[in-house]
Amino acid sequence: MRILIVEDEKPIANLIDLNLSSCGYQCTCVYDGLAAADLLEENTFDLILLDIMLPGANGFELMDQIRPTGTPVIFITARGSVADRVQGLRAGADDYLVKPFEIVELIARVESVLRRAGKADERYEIDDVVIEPRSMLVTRGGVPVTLTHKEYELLLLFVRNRNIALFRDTIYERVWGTEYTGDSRTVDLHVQRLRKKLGWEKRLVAIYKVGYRLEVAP
Amino acid sequence: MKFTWKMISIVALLLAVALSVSGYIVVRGSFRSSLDYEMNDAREDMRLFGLTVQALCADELRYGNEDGAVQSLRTLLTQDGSAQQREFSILSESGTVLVRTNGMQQSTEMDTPVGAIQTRIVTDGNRRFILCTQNVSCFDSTFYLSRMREITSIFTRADEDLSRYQWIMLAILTVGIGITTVLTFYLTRPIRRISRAAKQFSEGQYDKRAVVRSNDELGQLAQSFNEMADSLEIKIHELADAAQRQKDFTASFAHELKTPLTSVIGYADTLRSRVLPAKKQVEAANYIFSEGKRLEAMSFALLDLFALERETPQFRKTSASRIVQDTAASCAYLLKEKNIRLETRVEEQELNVVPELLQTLLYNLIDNARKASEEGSIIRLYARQVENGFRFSVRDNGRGIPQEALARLTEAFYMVDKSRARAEGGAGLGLALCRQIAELHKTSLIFESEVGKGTCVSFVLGGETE
Repeated sequence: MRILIVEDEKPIANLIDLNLSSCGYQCTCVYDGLAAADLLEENTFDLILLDIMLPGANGFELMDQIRPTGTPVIFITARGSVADRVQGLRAGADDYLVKPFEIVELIARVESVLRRAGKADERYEIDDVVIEPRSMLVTRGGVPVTLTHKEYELLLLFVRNRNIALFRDTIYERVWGTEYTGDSRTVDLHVQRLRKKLGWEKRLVAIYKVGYRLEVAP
Repeated sequence: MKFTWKMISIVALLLAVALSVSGYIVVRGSFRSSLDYEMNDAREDMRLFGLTVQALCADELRYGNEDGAVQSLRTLLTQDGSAQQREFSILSESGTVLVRTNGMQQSTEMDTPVGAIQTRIVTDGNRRFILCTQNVSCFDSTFYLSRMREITSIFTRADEDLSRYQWIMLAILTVGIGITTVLTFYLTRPIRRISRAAKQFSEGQYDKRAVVRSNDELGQLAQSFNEMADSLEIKIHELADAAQRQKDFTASFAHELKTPLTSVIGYADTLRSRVLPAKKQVEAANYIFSEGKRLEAMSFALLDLFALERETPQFRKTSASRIVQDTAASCAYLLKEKNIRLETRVEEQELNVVPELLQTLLYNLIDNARKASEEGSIIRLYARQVENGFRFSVRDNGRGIPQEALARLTEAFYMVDKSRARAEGGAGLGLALCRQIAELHKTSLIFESEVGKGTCVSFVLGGETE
């Protein structure tokens, strides 16, 4: 999966690159609009992360070049007002990420856009466990595993954020969709059941006072 | 009530009163004079009639022939042409009617003193008459004479005059109201224009003005209004500009703030949630450090900028050489790093300035020159008397500023070369600060630059440049 990162701030470009690479994406960084335009002439990408305020050619101008190719685009910008978002989405962006953002949000948006574009690798294989989000099927050694809805959501969150420590509050908000109240038992209980059902006692590592991480060799 | 309506009602009322009074006087006057004429005529007529009767009767009566006298009277008077037109009667002393024409119905007054002629107006239905009476004595006999003269025509003429006059009055009133309407419409036109302009102005069309080209009071009012609108328009535009600048500043500020924050938060988030190789960990920590530094630099620069806006600085008499020396001293460390020499030339002059701020300004200009310069080059700081004041200039032989960037230099957060400015730890606020200090000293920065050859920034103190 090839992702182009167009961002004039090197620290931010590097940050995105660092995190997406460890999720298994192939990233290319460019730091100005003209270089991006040149690169887009000769290469195709599965997703473009595009800053709006760029030297050379700005994000909207690049959009005009990208739109005919049908490549999905996520705008990354500091301008987060409703008018700016609407303008970005009207210009043809698939999603909008406002600085400053958290890593989990970046990855979630990247995956969601890829999924909608039909480009996501809709199959995860870890050990003998196979997860197919399209059919909501989870098998272990070829045998289907029965999971509750919340367990399944939790599993997807871990699988999509491999090697990233997920904080209990993040987990709670992502899976249960409501504000974390500090009661960690719900999360712990579900993680416990996942471990048992999938035999992931060693993979789903508890991090003291923080949360959990799914450890997979990159 | 609208002004036009007020004018019309007042004019109509005045016209109606004036015309009624004058009409009454004229019609009444002509009626009176005709009536007086007729009265006098009737009296004269009566006198002659009396003399005629006396003369006629004298002959007959002298011989005592009373019947003959009556006969001759009757004969004569019926033959007389005047008898055809005038009604008359002659009564004897005893009240016997001697002669009476058909039209006479009124009995004559019996008690009229001899010789006196009496007149009065009598009415018979629609007709009016002058009744004239007289007693005539002849020898022993007395005759009572009365004559009637119709004067209905005088009354009808007066009535006709009156009704004709009413029509004339109506016509004059109509024309008068018409003229008043047109006139007030014409006269109030400037007022309506001013009012319309004021309304449009209040609705936000600040470029609208009242077009009135007269020199009267209304013209002056319009001119005053326009002058007021001019100054208001300027003020409004100034406010709008200030608001726009404020908005731009806030937008840039948000952007400049979010960019380093994104890195700081992002790398910290990565570090806490991911197991990274040692090399990557250092890299991430470095980014957090440098971006944090950047935030720090920006917040200091902003504090300077805000402090300048809030406080009212103290102007003091300071010598130019003192300022230049102090600036040079504070720059020394900076310049040493790049082995740059600062050449200063100062003419002695007492200046009324805020020395700390002026030093900050010069320091920033020299720092900018340093950033643009190669190692081992020279920066020249000159301060000397010129035609219109005292001029400071900072000149370098550095890389110069592109023409298109010159106008935007003093905008907050504007950076000609973003990545290089960042690398040098700039936040794009230095020249914005310089501009504010310059404005405080009632002067402005002048940039002259050529790409590849160098830049000269100067400002003139105490000049007339506003």
